[in-house]
Amino acid sequence: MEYTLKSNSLFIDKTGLLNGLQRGEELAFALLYNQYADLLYSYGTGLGFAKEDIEDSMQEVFCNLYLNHSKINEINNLKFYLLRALKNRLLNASHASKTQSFIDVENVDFYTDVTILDDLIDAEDRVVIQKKIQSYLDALTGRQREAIYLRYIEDLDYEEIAELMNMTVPSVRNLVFKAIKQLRNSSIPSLIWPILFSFVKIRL
Amino acid sequence: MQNKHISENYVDFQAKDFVTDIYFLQWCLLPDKENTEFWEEFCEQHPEKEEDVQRAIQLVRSVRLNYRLASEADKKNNTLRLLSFIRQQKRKEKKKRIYAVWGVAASVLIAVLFLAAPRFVSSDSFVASSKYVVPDDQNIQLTSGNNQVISMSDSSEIVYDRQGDIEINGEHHDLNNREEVTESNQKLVVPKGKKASIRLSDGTLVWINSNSAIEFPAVFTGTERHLKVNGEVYLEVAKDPEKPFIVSTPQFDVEVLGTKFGVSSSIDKSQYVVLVEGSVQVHTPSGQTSCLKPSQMFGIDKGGTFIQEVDPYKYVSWKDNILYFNGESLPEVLVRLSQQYAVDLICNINVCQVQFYGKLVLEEHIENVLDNISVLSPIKYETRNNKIIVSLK
Repeated sequence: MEYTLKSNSLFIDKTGLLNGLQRGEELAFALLYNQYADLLYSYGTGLGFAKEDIEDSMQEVFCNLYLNHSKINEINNLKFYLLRALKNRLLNASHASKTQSFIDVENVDFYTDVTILDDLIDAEDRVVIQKKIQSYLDALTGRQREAIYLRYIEDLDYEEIAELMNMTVPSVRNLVFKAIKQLRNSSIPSLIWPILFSFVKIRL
Repeated sequence: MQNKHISENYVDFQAKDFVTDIYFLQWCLLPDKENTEFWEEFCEQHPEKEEDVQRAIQLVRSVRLNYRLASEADKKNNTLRLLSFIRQQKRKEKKKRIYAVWGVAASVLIAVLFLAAPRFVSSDSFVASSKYVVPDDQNIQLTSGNNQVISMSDSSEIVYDRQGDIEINGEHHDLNNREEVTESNQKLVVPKGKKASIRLSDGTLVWINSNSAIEFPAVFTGTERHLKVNGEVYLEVAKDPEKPFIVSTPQFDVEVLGTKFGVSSSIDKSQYVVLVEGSVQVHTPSGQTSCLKPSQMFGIDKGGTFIQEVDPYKYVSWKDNILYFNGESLPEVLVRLSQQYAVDLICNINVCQVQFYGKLVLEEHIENVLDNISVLSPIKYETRNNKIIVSLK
């Protein structure tokens, strides 16, 4: 397996990585872990789990992937596979530990917090925008938030979201669609608009 | 109805205002014919706003939900955790492959060994003439010069004093007729499952393993000290430069001057000398002489003789009533046990992947030892036709 090291970041060609994983190469697994660590951590956080639990479950997921490395070529979408495996592990672990009395797999509340990565925006505006988008998301249901997260942040397709959320494809589509259309029903904008406009005008 | 959300103030909007506008967000997230047409038209009509719209699109794209960056240290630790797991697995896989082969080899080896293993020391060997062959539930038997036989049921300590008088487990036995004291008139036979230790008249200590026999004089009178061995013994020879100590076995002789070593010469065990301390010379009937250093083993196998470096304690630990293992597989452990207790042990290939580390206490009966092993490892055993069959639980 060949990797190219360019300006402090590894550019891995996808087939190269997959071949390395298939052969059970350590480097390939290390790279895969680093590539998906943040994303999986982020999803686990959304599901409401603590850092240590997420890290432990991630270990189990990757160890398990190694144990089945000869069958890695049967996985169509590694990201989806990892997300699903992580969710299953986390839910199983919390069932087993009995610390949480009952988790309804169908209705896990999904939390989201908003970050704007663009660093050209000034700090004040960033906070305003983050709060605003946060308020829109808060008006949605947990499942809507999870669907939006998976669709727009993790970039999964509807089939994958449906499997991950244990729903049919049409109902996922409906859920996402409704969630976005529902943004209009949020009551906050009507309260904030005047303030925002006055702010805009002062700036102008 | 859609237009409800369309603000009339878009001409006054900056990028940051577009980002928080619901109609704009809806277009970014879920573009359809209607909203796409609206925003394209807006940009055409207000070309001065296009820059803000583009900037707003950029900003929306930079929105992350639950944006978490695991710290580099955490990532590194977790990556190392994963790698150590993978390495461990790889080692296991390698061993599994080796065991798959070795498992077959070992079970064949065990079967052959047991078929060939005689019930006791063979009749033409120097100790076990038919007179001394004892029934199956044998005791340790010491035969002294006047052909009087002392039977001992437990693993015993025997002491010869300088005059050749005998003390067994602290009890004095006046057996030796002084006039009849000659070389090679004392015989000690230790049956399977038993062990004995003896202090010879010169102070040499001999541990005799199960299924072994030795022959020695009550007092060493000649210019050499002679001990005949058939089986497995461990010796701590008392120093006497005037009188070299010679251990004779059917296969070879060992010449020593004050040293600690183990000798095995029995037919069903390997034939070896392992030197713990001092130095010994091994003479074979073919006239070959080999000098051993501590931690070296002289052995005889089908290919002839060899010398190799070993962990000597492994070969002599039986004298302390323990067997000592360092990663041996179950077949290897069972071979040792079958030698120790002179029983036939049969194990199937499935159990070959278990590894053993540490000390195994040799109880009086092999069943007790197997009970102990089965507590610690996933094996069970059953006795059938005097054979013990070991299998996975």
